[in-house]
Amino acid sequence: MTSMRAKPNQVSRRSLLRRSFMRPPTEDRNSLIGHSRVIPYLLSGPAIFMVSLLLAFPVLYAIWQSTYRAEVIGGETEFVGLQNYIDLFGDPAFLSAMNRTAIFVFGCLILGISLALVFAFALNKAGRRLRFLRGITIVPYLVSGVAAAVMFRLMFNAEFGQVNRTLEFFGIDGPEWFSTPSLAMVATIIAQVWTDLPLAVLLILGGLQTIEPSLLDAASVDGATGWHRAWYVSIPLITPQLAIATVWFSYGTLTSLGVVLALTGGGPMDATRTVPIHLYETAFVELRRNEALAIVVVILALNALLTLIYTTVSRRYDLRS
Amino acid sequence: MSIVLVLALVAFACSDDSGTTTTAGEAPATSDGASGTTGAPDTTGDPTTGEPVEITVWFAREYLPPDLFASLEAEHNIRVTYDVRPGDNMLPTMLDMRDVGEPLPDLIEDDSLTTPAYIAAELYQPMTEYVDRFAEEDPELFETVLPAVWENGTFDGEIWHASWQSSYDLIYYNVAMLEEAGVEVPFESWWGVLAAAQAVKANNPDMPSVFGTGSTSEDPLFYWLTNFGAPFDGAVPDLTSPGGLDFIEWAQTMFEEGLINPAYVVGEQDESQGAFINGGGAILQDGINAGLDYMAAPGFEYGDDGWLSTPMPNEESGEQMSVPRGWSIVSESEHPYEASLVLRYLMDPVNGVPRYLSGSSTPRSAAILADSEVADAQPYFTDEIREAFFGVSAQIPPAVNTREVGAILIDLRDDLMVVGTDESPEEVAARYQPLLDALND
Repeated sequence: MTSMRAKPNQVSRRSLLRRSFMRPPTEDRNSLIGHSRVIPYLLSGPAIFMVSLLLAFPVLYAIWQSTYRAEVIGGETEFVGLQNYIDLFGDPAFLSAMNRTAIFVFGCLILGISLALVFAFALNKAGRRLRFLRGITIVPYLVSGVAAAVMFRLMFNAEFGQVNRTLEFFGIDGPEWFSTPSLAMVATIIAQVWTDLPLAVLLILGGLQTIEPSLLDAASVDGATGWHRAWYVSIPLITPQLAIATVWFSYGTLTSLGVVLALTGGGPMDATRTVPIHLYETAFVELRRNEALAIVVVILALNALLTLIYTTVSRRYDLRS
Repeated sequence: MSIVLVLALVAFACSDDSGTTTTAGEAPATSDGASGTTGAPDTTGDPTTGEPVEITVWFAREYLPPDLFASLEAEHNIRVTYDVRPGDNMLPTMLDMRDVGEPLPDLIEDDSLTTPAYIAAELYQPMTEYVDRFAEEDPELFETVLPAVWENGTFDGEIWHASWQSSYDLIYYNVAMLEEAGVEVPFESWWGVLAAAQAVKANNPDMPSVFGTGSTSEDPLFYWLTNFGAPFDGAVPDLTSPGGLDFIEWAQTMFEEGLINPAYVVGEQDESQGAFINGGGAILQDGINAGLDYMAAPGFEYGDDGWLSTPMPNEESGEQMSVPRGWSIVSESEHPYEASLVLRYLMDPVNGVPRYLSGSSTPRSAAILADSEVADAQPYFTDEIREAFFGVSAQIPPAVNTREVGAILIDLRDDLMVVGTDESPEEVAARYQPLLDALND
């Protein structure tokens, strides 16, 4: 019944919209927009101009400059086409940085989204007296990445850090976190997840709060356990929020510089030298700015690709669409 | 309205993104009568209008002269606008500013090793003429400046840079621990340091660290390789040389015997300093000015009951090295002579002593280092160390690719002292040397 009523409404709304766009200006004299088709563009023009100026121009400028190269620092640049990109993908250091970035991003995504789900479900169930925890959740977001890195540097200190002291309490010898390549990456992932977690938690929590309680009640009546209700009802219904949280995490981790630079500086043995660190060193240590802009464009393309994948996947599994 | 607000915010953000910009006229005078004794004629203002000459100065660190250039304006009609740009990215900033036609400063402070890059980018102008005038107009002050200031800044026969102050490492040690181990200083060689570390560890087997570097930068690598006598081609060391191989073997031994704590090699400076102060390490390599922090550490006294200092050792073919930072006149400056007067003002002990005591790197000035206030504040800067400091002529190699070389040397350090490798020194050198040589191609 519902779908039979909805169909004519949708068609009608669409045709109304089409008609209103095609309508001659004289038809609706009371509407400012109705007087001219140009007015909407004039009204939105300044905003479009500002957004283009502030957001699009730097991106286009970076793409344009990445096709140039200076032989001498500060010297005249010459057009080299895609040579910067060809050199970049032929550079073993960059390819290694790409591999490490993939490990870093997916490590952060798996840990971050898992923790965000757990915290969001817990906060969603929290009673009135524990609602203040939702406010506290945002605190890590207020701490700058560099400050967080300093904090985690102390926490993971092999001799006096809380992590190793806790392990020691359980009779486990704490490792040297920052001088063991694989553990340095683990510590970096944990620090990065801590800084990016709050928004993901709040996004997923928002999604959980939009779920009709009747759906969960119906599942309970059908004998679904709490785990089943979460897995088969709640999580599918919050797919859009999960997708947004995943996209957010991928942006944050793929472009993360402050946390990694302050925590490990890319070491030891380049174990945490991700693409943003490679970019930083290319731009500010080696002073090869045009080549650095090529890396910027690669990061941009990777982010766009990840966004496309996540939104496609979320659309595919979004039950409400 | 919102557009105006956004533009205002953008303009505000762009106007002052990395430091404090102010002029001597605006700044509160904090001096108790500091005076610039530049020895220059007092006619440096515009002779036709009497207007002061405007000079813009960029500092690399926040150590400012006490009167904030007020005496320079009073005596020489030079009004200084200064800015602190501590981000170590002054060169890219200036390139960007030049690209968009923004006015550049007249006088800047940056690491001396970056001088060739500035020269290649045509951002510096030679200052030989103004150094000569300095010698003529104020011989008394000129004599107090160590020759290395000008020698380290000379390229192709012209002085481009005044390597005014220098980071110079010392060995700090815990007196009780070394005495207990029967170790005597000064150390004759780095192998002597290793033997001392072995002796200390024999008495303190549970101690996690008996040696730290106190720095995460590439500087210690250049120090060590120069001390071990590895020859350099530009900024690229020859690891396959006897000195290079000796260093690799020494570093491997330090790691294998647990004499160096990997966490302090890759860690922040504060961590190894904290360990040293708290008795977690007997020997620490650190800069001269770090001694001020140790002097201020409660319960960790300078002297026979606490800590002392000794110069860095050399191997037979090695030499001492410093990491200088200094001043250059920017190519677009319309008032290079007046900029050189600002430099003289900064070299004057009246201004140099307070800057040094507030934590700047060590000025290469006999007058400043002989000052009684400095001597009182830095008892660890002993005559023996002072003599070594005055004799230093080698510097961290100034070249366009020094930082890139440093990045590879940090990988080498991690390989040798953090992760460890089973390879022989020859095999390690053979693996790294091509990477380094490629930077000179």
